[in-house]
Amino acid sequence: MGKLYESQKLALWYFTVAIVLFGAQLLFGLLAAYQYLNPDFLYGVLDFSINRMLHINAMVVWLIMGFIGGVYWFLPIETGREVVGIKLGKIAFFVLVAAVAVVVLVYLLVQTGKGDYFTLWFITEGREYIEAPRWADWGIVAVVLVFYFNVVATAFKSGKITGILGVLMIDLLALAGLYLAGMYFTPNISVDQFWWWWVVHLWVEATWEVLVGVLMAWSLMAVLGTPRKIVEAWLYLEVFLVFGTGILGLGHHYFWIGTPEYWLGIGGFFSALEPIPLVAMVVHAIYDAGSHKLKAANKPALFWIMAQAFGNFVGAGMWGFMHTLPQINLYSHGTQITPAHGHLAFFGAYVAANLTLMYIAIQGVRAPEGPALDSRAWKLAYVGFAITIFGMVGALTVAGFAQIFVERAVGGATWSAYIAGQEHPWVREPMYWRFGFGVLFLLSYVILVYDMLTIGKKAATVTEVKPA
Amino acid sequence: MIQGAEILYLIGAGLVFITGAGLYALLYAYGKIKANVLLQRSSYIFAVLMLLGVFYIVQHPAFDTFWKGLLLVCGFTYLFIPKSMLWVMERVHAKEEEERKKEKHNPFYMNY
Repeated sequence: MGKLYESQKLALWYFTVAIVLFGAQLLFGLLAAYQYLNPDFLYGVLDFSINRMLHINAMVVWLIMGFIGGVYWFLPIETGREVVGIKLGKIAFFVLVAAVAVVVLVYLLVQTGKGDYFTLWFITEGREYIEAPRWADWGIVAVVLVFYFNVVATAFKSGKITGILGVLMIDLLALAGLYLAGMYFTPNISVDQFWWWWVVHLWVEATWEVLVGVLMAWSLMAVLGTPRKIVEAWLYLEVFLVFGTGILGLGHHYFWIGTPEYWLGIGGFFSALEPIPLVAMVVHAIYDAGSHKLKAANKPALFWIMAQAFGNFVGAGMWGFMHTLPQINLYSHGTQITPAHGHLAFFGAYVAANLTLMYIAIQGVRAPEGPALDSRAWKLAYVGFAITIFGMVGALTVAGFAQIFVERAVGGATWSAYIAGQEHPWVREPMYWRFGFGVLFLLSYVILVYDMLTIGKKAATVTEVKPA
Repeated sequence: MIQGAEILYLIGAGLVFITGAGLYALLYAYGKIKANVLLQRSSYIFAVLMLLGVFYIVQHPAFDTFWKGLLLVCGFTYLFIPKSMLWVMERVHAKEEEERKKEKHNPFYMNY
């Protein structure tokens, strides 16, 4: 095993919990997908709404835990020293894991409550994607503040505030601050949604993108040996493009929630430009892959880096743009086109990034001095994920197109048109395909976990035996 | 209002537009790096597809002058991104090439 900083050991804990929660996300997702086929399944025991909530919340939490793990992995390498306040960081980790466990148990056992402050504080806040009860919200804020302290204190103590660290510190501040917007609520649903989107959109399409940019910059340096000046130049450009287009791209969520009409123009304009950094990333990925001929000491990490660049473009860019103009979105919002876009964008942009980080850490643990990290299983999992995510997304896209046509364009968005849409074979049958591909996606996850448990172990044995 | 299947054609045109932009960028950049003229030329097919997609959306009466202008600007922006990005990448990399030669990169783990 390579020599690790305490911070990197903490990173491994984060990665471990993250990959377990990834499995939980898939299980609850499959249950929800099956309930599309058989709505009576677990009715009154574990309703669709609860499964869906767990599916999405597990995803948000595991992705964030992976990102935190990534920062803890690279931070001591970047600064050349142990992370300041590492004990505090470890306590924060256990607090976070305990809080997640309690919240999940409450979601499963209590599920819902009256529309009062007790429910808001101790059961669920009831706000889509960020349902965590208020006590957990403050817990999350405390953990993020500890994490932020660790990053900033380490950077200042080391005296090495690199460009990447500078971007990270500013981005984390925005990321933590925006979460507070999710705790504000009013009886006016338009105003309420206005602020709620600040968390959901500005996390996913601005601060998370930049955080992943930081982590990918370090990953490129570690996996391909890309010089610092290049990744920093690229990171600045990416920050400029992502924030420049993504912040006001927020407007595409304001089309139909009762906000003023000018949001149609603002949202449409910036959303149409949002794929620009994604197209630029494709060019960057092609350049890097071409100049290195796809050769690296860490094959799975390299391929997940490539998947991140292309997946981000396809999921967020292609599936996002096709329904982002308000004239089109009027017909497509709330159909299965939205989850099609969501599944592919999250997989491409964030799952791929997390898996890159995990494979980099695995190499650091098992084969820091070589040989190259490679196996058959990661390739199988990689291809399996690629095929099945497109299978699920393809099915949802077909269903979404049918909904747009039957329910909106022909039926005029009436209640009876909604029912006609739901009963249409082109909406019903893709749900079977989605479930089937979902099962195969879970199988790919099992292969991935097997690979992560075994890859590089022989190399580690050889490396340890050699000196004797 | 948009009637019947028109909305599906518009979504399809949007998909063609942005897919064309991506494939054009991909093939153009790869063709340039590999010095493969065929790949570069075939990338223009996707650039044309991209423009066809944007023109289909622009000609639709659901979009007024503001949106037509916006979409045209968008289409032409995507036309120049691959060239300009590659231009930036080549220059930044060329500048770093000398330093890179001096420093031997350890391909394993953290020694970068």
